[in-house]
Amino acid sequence: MLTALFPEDKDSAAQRLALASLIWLVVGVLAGLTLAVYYSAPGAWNALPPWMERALEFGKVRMIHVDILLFDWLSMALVAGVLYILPRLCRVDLFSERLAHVLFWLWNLHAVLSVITLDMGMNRGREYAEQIWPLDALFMAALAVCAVLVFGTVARRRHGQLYVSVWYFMGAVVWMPLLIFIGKGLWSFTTNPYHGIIDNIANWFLGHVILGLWFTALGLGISYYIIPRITGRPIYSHWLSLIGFWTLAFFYSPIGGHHTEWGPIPYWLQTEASSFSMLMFIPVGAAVWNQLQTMAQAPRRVMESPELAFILVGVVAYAVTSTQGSIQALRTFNGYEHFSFWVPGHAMLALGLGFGSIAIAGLYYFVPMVAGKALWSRSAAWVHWGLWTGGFTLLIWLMQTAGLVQSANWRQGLAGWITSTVAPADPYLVGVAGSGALIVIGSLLFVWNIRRTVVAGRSLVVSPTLRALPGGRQAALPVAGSAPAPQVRPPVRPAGPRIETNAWVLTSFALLLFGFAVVSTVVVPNMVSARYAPAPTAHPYTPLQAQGRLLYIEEGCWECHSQNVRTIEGGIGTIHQPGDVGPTSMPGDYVYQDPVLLGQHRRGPDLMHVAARWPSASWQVMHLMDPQALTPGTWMPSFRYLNPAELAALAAYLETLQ
Amino acid sequence: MAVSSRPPSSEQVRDLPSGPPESEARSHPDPVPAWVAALLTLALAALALVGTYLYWRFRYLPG
Repeated sequence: MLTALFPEDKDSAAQRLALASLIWLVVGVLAGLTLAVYYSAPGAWNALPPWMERALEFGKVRMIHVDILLFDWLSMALVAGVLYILPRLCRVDLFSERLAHVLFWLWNLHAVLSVITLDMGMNRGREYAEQIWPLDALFMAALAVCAVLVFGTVARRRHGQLYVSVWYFMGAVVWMPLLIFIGKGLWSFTTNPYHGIIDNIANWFLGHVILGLWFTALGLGISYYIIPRITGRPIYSHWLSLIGFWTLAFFYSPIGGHHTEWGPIPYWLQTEASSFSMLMFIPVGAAVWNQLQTMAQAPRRVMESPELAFILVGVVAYAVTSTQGSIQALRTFNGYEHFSFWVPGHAMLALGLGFGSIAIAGLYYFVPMVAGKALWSRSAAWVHWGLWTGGFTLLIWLMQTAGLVQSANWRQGLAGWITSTVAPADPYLVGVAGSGALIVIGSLLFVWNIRRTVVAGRSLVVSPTLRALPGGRQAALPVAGSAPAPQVRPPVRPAGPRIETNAWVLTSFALLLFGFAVVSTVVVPNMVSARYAPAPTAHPYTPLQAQGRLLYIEEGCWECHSQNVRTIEGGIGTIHQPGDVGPTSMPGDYVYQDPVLLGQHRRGPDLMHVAARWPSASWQVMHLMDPQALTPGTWMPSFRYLNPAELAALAAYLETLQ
Repeated sequence: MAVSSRPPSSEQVRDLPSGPPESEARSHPDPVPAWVAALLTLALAALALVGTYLYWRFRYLPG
C-alpha cells in the first residue's frame, strides 16, 4: 500500500505530476470559458438556483481560473519537467523518488483545497496571491520538498558542469519560496504584516516577479534542454545563456512597481520599476535569440516535431509579451492601457501562449518516454498545436484590441460607463468566448492523446543511450530486466568558471541579486510608509463596515473594481460625467486598510469615491440585488443570494468610499 | 552575430541526457523510507486541513 502511494520507480513522480497537471489544465480552461460566456450573457446567471449562482459568481470563478492555471496546471507541469530533466543533466537519479511523491500528494491537495476555498470566498483580496495562509503554508511545504529534491540531486551529481537549465531550476526553487514568504508576509499567520499602501507594493513584488523568477526560470530551463535534445545541435551560445540568466536574476526582481504607476506608491519606486523593465530587453533578447538560433540550426526538425513547434510558439510569445511588458512599464503607455482588457490579454500571452506552450512541449516530450510508449497520435498533437496557438492568438488579439478601444474612450472622456467601457468591448468578448472554446477543445484533445499514450500506446524498444529524434518515434526506454547492473562512474572533472560548477556559489550570487530587490522594493518602502498620515476621509472601520469589506473581498468585487484614482485622471476622469471619478488617491487614503484593494482591472467603474457619486445606501442595495435593472447592459453580477444583513453590511462599506 | 557555439556549450550538449536511466536500478538507494514519506504527507496535509478549518471558523464567517 505505502509503496504504491510512494513508489521509488524512476520518473514515477514526474509522470504522476504531469498527468495530474492535465486535470488542473481542464479545470482552469473550463473556468476561463465560463467567464468568457458570462460576459456575453450575464443575465443567464439569474436563471440559476441561488447556490449555483453563488458558486459561479464571476469574481470567484476568476480567482479559480487564475490560481488553478498558474499554481496547479502550469507550475505542476513545469516542475514535472524539472524532475524528469534534472537527473539526466546531473547523471544521477533523483535525490528521492519517494519525497517527490510527497510533493505530488501535497500539491494536489493544495489544488483541491484551492478550488474549494476560493469558491467559498476565502481569499486575501490580492491578485495572484489570493490563497489563504494555510494553503500558502502547504504550498511552501511543497516548494521546500521541491528544493530538497533539486539541491539533493545536484549535490550527488556525476557531472561537474552545471548546464544552463540547472541554473534556472536552482534559481527558481530558491526564489519562489522567498517570493511567497516576503510577498505574502507569511511570518505573520494571524494578521497581514503589511498595512496601508505597502500591502500593494508587497503584493506586486510577488505578483509580478513570480512571472520572471518562477515561470520564466522553469520554462527557459526546460526549453534549453528540449531544443538541443530534439535538434541534436548544441545551444547556439553558452555566453548568451550566461548573460540571459544573470541579467534575469538582477533585472527582474525590482519591476513589480510598474503595476501601480501613476498610483499612490512612491514615485521613485515607479521609476525604478520602469527602468528595470526596460533593462529586461537584455535577458529576454539573449534567451530568445539563443533559443531561436539553436532551432535555426535544424529547421526541418522544427517542422517535424510538435514538441519543437510548441517550444517555438512559446519562445516567440515570450519575446512578444516581454516587449509588451517593457513598453507597458513606460509611464505614457501605462497611463493609457492600464485597467483595460489589454492587461489580461498581456498576461495570457505570457502565461498561456508563452510558458503554457513550453509546459505542453515538455509533457509531449517526456510522458511518452517515461511510459515507454510512442505518442498515441502525432496528428492529434498537431491539431492541438493549431487549436492552442490559433485560439490563444485570436483571444489575445481580441482582448487587447478591446482594451485599446476602452482606453481610447477613457482618454477622451466619453460619458457613461456602459457607453465607454462595456458596449464597445462586447463584440470582442463574443470572439473571446469562441477562441476560448478552441483552447478548451485543444486541451481536451491533449489530455485524450496523453492518456491514450499511457494506457494504450505502442511500446518502444530499449535504447540505453536514447536520443529523442523528431517525432519521438525512435525514443526508447530501458525494458525491465534487460538492463545491466548500475554503473558507478567517477564524477566528471568540473570545467569552466567556479560559478558554473559550484552550486552553492551560483545560488549565493542569485540570492544576493534577489536581496537587492527585496531591500529596494519592499524594505525601504516599508520604512517610508510609516510616515504617511491618515487622510481626512480615512477612518477605522466600524464592525458593520468591516463585515461589509470582508464580503467585498470574499465575493471578489476587487477583481473588477479598482480603488485607485491615478494622478493622470484625478478630478478629470469620467465614469458617468467628466470628473466624477473623484480626486487623486493618496497614500494616506489607505492607512487603515488591510489589505488595500487598489485593483488591476476596471470591468466595473473605480469605486474609490463611489459614495460621492451614489450617496444612497438603499440604491447600493438595490443595485447589488439587480444590477441589470438599474444599469441595463452591465456585466455586474447579481448578489441577490446574499441575505439582507449581508447586503446592508456591503452597502455600509461602500458608503465609506467617499 | 559574433557569438557562436563555444567549447563549453558543445561540451555540455554532448553531456546532455543519456544519464542515469541506463539501468532500471537506482544510482543510489532512496534515502527516504516509504513510511517516512507517508507520515510527512499525512502530517502536512493534516496541518493544512486544520488550518483551513480554523481560518473558515474564525475569520471567514462574517461576525
